[in-house]
Amino acid sequence: MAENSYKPPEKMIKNVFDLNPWYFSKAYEEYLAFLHRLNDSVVGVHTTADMRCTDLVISFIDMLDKLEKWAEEIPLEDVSEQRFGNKAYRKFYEKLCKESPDLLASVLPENVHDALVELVPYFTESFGNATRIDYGSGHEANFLILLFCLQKLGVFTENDDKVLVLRIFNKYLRVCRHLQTRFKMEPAGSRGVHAIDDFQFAPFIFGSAQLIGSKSIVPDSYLKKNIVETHAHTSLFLDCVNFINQTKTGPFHEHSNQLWNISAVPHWKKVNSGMFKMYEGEVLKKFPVVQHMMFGSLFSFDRSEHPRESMEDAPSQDPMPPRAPAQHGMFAFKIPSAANTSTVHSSSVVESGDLRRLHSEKHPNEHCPPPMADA
Amino acid sequence: MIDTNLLRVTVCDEGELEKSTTHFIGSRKIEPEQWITWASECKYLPESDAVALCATLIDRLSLEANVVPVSSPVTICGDIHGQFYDLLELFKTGGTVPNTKYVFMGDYVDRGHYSLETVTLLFCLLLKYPNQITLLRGNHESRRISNVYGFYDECQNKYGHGNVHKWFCKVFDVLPIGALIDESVLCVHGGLSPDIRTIDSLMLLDRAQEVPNKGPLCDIMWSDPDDDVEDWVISQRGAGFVFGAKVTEEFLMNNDLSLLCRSHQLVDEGFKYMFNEKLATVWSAPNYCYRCGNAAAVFEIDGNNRSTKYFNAVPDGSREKPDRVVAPYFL
Repeated sequence: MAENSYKPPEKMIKNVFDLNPWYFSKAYEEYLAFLHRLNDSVVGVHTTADMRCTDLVISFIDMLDKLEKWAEEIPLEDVSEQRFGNKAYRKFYEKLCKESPDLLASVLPENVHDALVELVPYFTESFGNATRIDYGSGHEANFLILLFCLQKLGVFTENDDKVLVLRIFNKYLRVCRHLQTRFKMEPAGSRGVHAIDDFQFAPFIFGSAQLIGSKSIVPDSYLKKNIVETHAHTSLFLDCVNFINQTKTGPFHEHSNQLWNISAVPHWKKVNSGMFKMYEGEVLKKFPVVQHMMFGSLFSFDRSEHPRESMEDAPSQDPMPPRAPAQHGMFAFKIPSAANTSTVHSSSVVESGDLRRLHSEKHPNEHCPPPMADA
Repeated sequence: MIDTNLLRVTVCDEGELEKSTTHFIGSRKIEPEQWITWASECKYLPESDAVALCATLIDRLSLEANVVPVSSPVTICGDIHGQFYDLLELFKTGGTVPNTKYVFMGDYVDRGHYSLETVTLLFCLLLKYPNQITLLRGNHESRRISNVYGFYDECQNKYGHGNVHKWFCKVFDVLPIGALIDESVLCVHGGLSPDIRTIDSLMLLDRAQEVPNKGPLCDIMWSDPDDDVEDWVISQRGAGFVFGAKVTEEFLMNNDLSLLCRSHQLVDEGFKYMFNEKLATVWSAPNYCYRCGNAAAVFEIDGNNRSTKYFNAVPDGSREKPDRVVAPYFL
């Protein structure tokens, strides 16, 4: 790696007009590529499959175990004084912030300790918000960004991809579930029944990849609780559905309507590719989620030098560039219980186009400058 | 001599004029009784009726003040978030309209499964009984938020396009932002703003717009109280402020009020006093997100008497399984 000047990451997405430079940033491109690499590494792989863990990986998992012990040791506060979430979570968060530099320093190799100033905030912001005692897909993204930065620094290599997903990220999920249930964390920025889940997104991506090629489990299968329970240990997707079944009440088709809808998709490969599109469309391109993202030299807001391989329009001098064909169809279809069918129009392409027009109108021919470097 | 016949210029046939009027796009029958019957059964309106409902409410609400005066006895409700069957349970607990007067403090849509049916029922009740129900605007009654958190998706799925969502958002723009009960209790969705010291300054805001991402109109719908805060702290929600007891008491004293009533935050038991009973949070979505297991509440004010009634989520019962609508991401 070239010598870097590391700095504490900071928020760069202040309003909806900052979404466009985010789409074309190095961070966006590299993060998505990272997720795709992780995804490809677990295609057809059970969570319980044997895999080689280096000492570093084991240390990392032990570090996450330590967080879980802290959560268990901190006494819960009396319910009567609280709104919903247990305020003891704030003690956990204080301890996390205080101990994180040393925790990461003891796990990571010496040569990347200079980068700790940039890595620690992603770690501390991976487990929820202490003021509101909530957790959401933005926090999950911070943990993945941490792993991305570590791979970029060479701490992990692409040989570690499978382990990053099925051992480290999986352990992170268990810690988060423990925090969520023990401290009664509120869903942060939940889209409710319109989201895959109140808390997580990425395990549904990786978990659907794990199920690609499965002969016995089709997407329709996870509507049956006993199948989910029996096979939860094989896939992060089914493990998440199992957790939903344990923690949510009411009819599945109501409280998890998106998952209900997705069960009609014919095979896991299509579920997996759809999950990526949905992650881009519903997490990475939604201002309420990404306004909290932090950018530094490793996760960089600078414009990417490569033209996008995706079908998205490249930036253009033309204030009204012609829209490239959509990555996905304009129409959805209903799978009726009865005989009737109808078409449902998609809105995401129009929204995306509108946003580009809006951006052009607001900043005609303006090129967003790189963030100011420290003096 | 001027030929008097030249002064009689026929513009159009008299019979045609009457016929044309009945086909004019804006002239639709307003049938609140029929609409309430449909809406009460968790059915949304046909598009033309939904647009007529919205257009009528826009005309009426545009004339309302930012802060609506309400006399007690009145029942105050918090967030609903599309939980239609739990809204019906709320009416069982608090009493039916028009026998019971209500103030709902916003967030009718997003998150829950029946945002469209929920807001349709509330709007129909508002149309039919404008003196018995007051609907305040919450932070989710905006394009920016309802585009992301579910209401838009739901309208898209049910109507096939975004026109009805557009009309509902126009109504959201003109919903009042506060209610003043017996001139002593102020209701808003979120909380206070450092830019608002008096109710008069609340009255002077131009509310007929999309909720801005900062400023007093934003703060009123986004802010939260906190026991550990003295003054004003920027909220980590990304909009609004976190405010403390000191500024709350100042505001109440300056305006000769006894209580600030708001929703916007989940509370485990559905109701919670703060700041020596100077501020109350009312939450009316039981078992929020189907996981929180919380109770819900309505808050009744009758002169100097205040009481709270609690209710829980409706049991599953027999609900139709919806068709599976595969999102375009998965095609």
